[in-house]
Amino acid sequence: MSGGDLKGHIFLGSISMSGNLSFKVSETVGTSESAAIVVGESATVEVNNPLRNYWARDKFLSPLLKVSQSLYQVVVKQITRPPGTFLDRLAEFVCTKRTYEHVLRTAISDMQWEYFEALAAGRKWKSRWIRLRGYWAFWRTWARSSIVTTAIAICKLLFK
Amino acid sequence: MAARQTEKRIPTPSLKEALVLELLLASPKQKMYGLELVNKSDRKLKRGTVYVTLNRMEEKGYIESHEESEQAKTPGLPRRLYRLTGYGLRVFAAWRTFGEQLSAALVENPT
Repeated sequence: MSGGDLKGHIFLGSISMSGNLSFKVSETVGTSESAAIVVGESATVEVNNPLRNYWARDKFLSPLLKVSQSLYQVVVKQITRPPGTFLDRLAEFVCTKRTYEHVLRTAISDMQWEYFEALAAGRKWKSRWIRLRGYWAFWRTWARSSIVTTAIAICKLLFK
Repeated sequence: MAARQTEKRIPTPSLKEALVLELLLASPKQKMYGLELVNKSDRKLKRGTVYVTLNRMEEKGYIESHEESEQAKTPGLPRRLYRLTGYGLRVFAAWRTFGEQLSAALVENPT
């Protein structure tokens, strides 16, 4: 198998290996950076366009799955996560389920969507700006949410 | 104290809530994302506050939401879609009628 056969734009999340011969995409994540997935020693697939993940998966991963039986190793060199992944996990850990699902996760998901849209349009600087603005909006949302929750709790105590 | 708890209050949406209701009502498909609302509000809604407002409105029953289906071909977390409820529609209609009548009364009797 030559590396050139599998070159192209692909968007992958994590690859989980079961044994040495098979692998699958377990989740999708986004990235603005180019990442490489090396299969064996020769095949390289560039991760570039996140919005085309499904298309790319069908086009490039299927042949990879087919040929994987003859390969001995799958090495993930670099997978970057979409913006807000850490904040998402932090919010999930710290906040209540309701606040997380209806407020903070929504803020992150909208930011990610806008970010990927800018990336797909090739507007790298805009995507960076969206990322920064999204982080700021997230913290503001969190602060506002905490203030509102605290105020409601105080009111409930006072007017019980 | 007990009377306060059983007191039936007339639902009065805040200005931001009324704006969200208006935007949702104006949307032909009547399902919008939080960011979409921010963009259409002409800077009256902010990114940092809109989700808290939407959550509060959902708790009051003015709007309902659901997450985008998994089939959506975009990476990242699924987005949340908001839609006006029948109750929200009635509250908004009542609020608007009240506003119109109040302004008409003020014009007729300014003192």
